[in-house]
Amino acid sequence: MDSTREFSDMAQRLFGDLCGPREIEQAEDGRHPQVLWDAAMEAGLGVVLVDEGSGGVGGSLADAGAILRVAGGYAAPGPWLETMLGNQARVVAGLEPLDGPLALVFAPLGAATAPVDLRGVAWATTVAQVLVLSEQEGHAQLSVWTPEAFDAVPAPPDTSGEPRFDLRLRSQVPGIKLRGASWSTWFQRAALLRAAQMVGAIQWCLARSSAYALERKQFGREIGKFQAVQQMMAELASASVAATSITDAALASPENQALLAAARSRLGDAVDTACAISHQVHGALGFSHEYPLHFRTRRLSAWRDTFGTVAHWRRMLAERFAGCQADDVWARLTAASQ
Amino acid sequence: MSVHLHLELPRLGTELQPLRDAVRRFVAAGRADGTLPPPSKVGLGFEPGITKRIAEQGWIGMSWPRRYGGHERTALERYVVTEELLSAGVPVGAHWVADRQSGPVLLKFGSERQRQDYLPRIVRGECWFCIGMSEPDSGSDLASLRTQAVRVEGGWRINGRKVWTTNAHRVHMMIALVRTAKAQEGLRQSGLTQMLVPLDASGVTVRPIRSMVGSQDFNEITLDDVFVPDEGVVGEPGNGWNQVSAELAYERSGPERWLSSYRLLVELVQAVGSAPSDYARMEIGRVLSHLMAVRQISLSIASMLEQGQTPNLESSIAKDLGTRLEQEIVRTVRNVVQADGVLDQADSARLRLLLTSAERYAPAFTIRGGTVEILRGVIARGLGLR
Repeated sequence: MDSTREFSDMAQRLFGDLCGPREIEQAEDGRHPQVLWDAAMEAGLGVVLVDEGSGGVGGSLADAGAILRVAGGYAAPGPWLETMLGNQARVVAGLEPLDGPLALVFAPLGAATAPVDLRGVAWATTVAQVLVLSEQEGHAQLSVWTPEAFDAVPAPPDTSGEPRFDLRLRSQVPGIKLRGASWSTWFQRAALLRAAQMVGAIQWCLARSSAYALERKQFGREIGKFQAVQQMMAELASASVAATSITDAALASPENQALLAAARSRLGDAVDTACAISHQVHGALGFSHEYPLHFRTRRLSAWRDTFGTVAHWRRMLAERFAGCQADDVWARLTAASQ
Repeated sequence: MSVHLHLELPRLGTELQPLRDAVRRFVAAGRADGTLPPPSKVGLGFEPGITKRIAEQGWIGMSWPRRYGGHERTALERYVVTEELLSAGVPVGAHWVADRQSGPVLLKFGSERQRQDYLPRIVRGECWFCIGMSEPDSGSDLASLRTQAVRVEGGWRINGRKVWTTNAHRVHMMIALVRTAKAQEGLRQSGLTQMLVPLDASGVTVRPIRSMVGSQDFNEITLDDVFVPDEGVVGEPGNGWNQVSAELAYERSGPERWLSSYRLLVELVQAVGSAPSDYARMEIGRVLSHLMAVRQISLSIASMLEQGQTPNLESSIAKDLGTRLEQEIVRTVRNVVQADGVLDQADSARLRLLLTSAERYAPAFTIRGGTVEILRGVIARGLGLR
């Protein structure tokens, strides 16, 4: 746990110093936040999940989650999660980790062949490589797409506003079989790290909205003194605590698929609550481009259904209980929570 | 500014599993011999015979000192037993209040004599309690209560009325919160005192209040010149508010705050079988994820309480989330059974009974033990807004 704290503090300093509204705005105009990125790579963020023997930091998923939680709080633009996990996959594939940003795409599970078209890949023209994880004969397989190997066409952005592209491969790329973790496990890692990122943004929304409710005065008093606002803020706090609590549990047991599914499903609703209430409390100001709230809420909307939609995780969780007798649900539920 | 909401991961040692298994064996045996059938209605069943059997297992007064008959187990062990019994729908209503709060209040604030008089009997499942807080004109604003006790030779004389008193018609004792002195200027909570009132005392009249559930659950109690001797005062006269506040903290984060409609959900899971509709899967997945999240919070709080921390703000959040979820489960189950025609199945009798019962009971979930609005006021204060 102490190491997790250190990663969190380090990320706090890094993103606190180098990730302000200007960097986010530029990123949404298509310019990669290079200064922030270089400092982060210097600090080892890109190889946090790579073991020390392979030139990495040797952190756990919880450590990476701690960093991404902070990054989420700062609405840090760029493929952070993808680079962390991508480098881990590269090393498992026998390749060197890279400093350049990486895109990471999961081909649909059970697809017969590795894809030659990819849709909506964030930062595809900026990244050093696009990594594609597919499944072949029960194994996860990594395909490395270098920029000269594909054509990129700008794709409609998602609500995060970060640049996205549709890609077409010019010629087949050989896949590298990954030993160990299955495609599903890689996918779950991505989903879990995304959860941590969302928790950070939700917690930022709670803290900023609480502060704003005490700054903004109407009718001669702070709006936070009105019961209607207090009740909304309490609902936001409850949603934030619920999402944090189940995500922390999932991060502490990264192999536990039920906890992950529960976290991502619960986060789906917490995101909706956080976005709706923090905007309502901020009124028109939160709607302005100038105020930094939308940088978080737009990303929350985009992240909510990535690396598995909310619907996917709900189906996945329910599936574990399908066919269960009433009296047997509890044992399954408590087993899933440990 | 940062908001100080902090929950630690629950520290649940593996030593809890044998206890969990023991409760499961107890329930399974009761299911098998017909003495603990799966419930077909919502609400804590009141079964003195079952309470007695639970007492024999050592599951009442679990964390209390041995010298009062307790079992000196941890609060987490009590938590495990509680969630196991509640999730199985075991009727724990007779000893519920005594075990959860009256006993702990006596242990913390009561006199040595009170502890000796009541705790061993509670532990044996023989002495049952109710809560004498709400009054006709005092609900959420508890400090405005008017039931009054005046000093007389050797004790106090109480006059007033208590309402919504669950089980008052069938338990032995009430701990009543009464006014023993005028509130000091600007300190409305001062001058309140907790007293032990035997419900068979002279001057106590218990009248049933029928609820929308239909069954007789709660009551109005009239206190007409009821004499309480000095040894019936719990703690210091005038300290009642502090004592009640301590009581409420334990009342807010337990499994009873998110399991009230749990049986309805699991009967739905059984009824939709191994090939549920996609709508059923999505909805069951959604509420299960909310349930697992609330349980994590509840476990964290239990674990933090065990370590001597007092996460009161987080407890209010647990109850806010938990009780709203209890209602959400009822709506969700209704929506799914209606959409998918689940009640048309031949073996859906128990689900149908539970759903009707839950729909009638549901409004109480977010009112009892502190309304959602009061809890949210507490949370807003924690956020620095009040």
